[in-house]
Amino acid sequence: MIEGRAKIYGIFDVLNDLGRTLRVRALLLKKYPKYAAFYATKGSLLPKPWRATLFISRLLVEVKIYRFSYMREAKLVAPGRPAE
Amino acid sequence: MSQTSAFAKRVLTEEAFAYFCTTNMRNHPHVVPVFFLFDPTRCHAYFLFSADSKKVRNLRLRPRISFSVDIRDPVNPLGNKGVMIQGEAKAEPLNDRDVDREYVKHLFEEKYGWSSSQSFFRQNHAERILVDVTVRKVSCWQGPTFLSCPKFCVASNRQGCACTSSRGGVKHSGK
Repeated sequence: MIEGRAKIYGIFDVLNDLGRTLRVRALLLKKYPKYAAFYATKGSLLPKPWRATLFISRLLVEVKIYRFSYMREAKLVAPGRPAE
Repeated sequence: MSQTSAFAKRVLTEEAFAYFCTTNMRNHPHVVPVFFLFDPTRCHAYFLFSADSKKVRNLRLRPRISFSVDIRDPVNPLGNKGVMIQGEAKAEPLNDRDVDREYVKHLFEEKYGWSSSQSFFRQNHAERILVDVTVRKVSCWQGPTFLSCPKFCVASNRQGCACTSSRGGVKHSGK
């Protein structure tokens, strides 16, 4: 379980940190290649709120993590804070 | 019962895990995957938690909770489905006289196949809390369609129940 503070990126946030935005896009494509292929080929089948167009359909939300909790079976293993 | 209601009922009775969300006094959300039961005849959901767990402490302070249960399609986003329940939770120790322990035990063993030695009931009953959630709102999604169902849609088979779409207010009447 991750606890943190969420920040919604506005247009100026994206423009100010374009490198990060592009890196997030690359990470998404790497993590979800099958979804990426679906969006690329059949994206028009999706309703507008589901399309991948930034700001028109989607907002980028960054979560600044301040706590991780690990669990195994039904027990909390170790709460921890992310490394700086 | 409409198709959506039947779908919601099936997901809630057959799927193994729910993501259970409570909030603490500072409004910080706490979400964990848990075992659960849904009793469609009473429209209640049941959970067994440790008495000293954070979620129990939270729901004693703020009984309004929500949980979601979903089925994911790893290839096609239109294949994703799920149900979100919002309701009010009541925590009762398992050794409380009002708790029908055998009924709850039977439901859990029927769903998860726990034998008596493997079940949560092996532990001291005073350490276990039965959380009974009264369902207030049922929201479902199937692909791109989001629907809000009155709880009786899920709980009963009666005719004429309706689910309201969040997109354009389309109504899906029961057959």
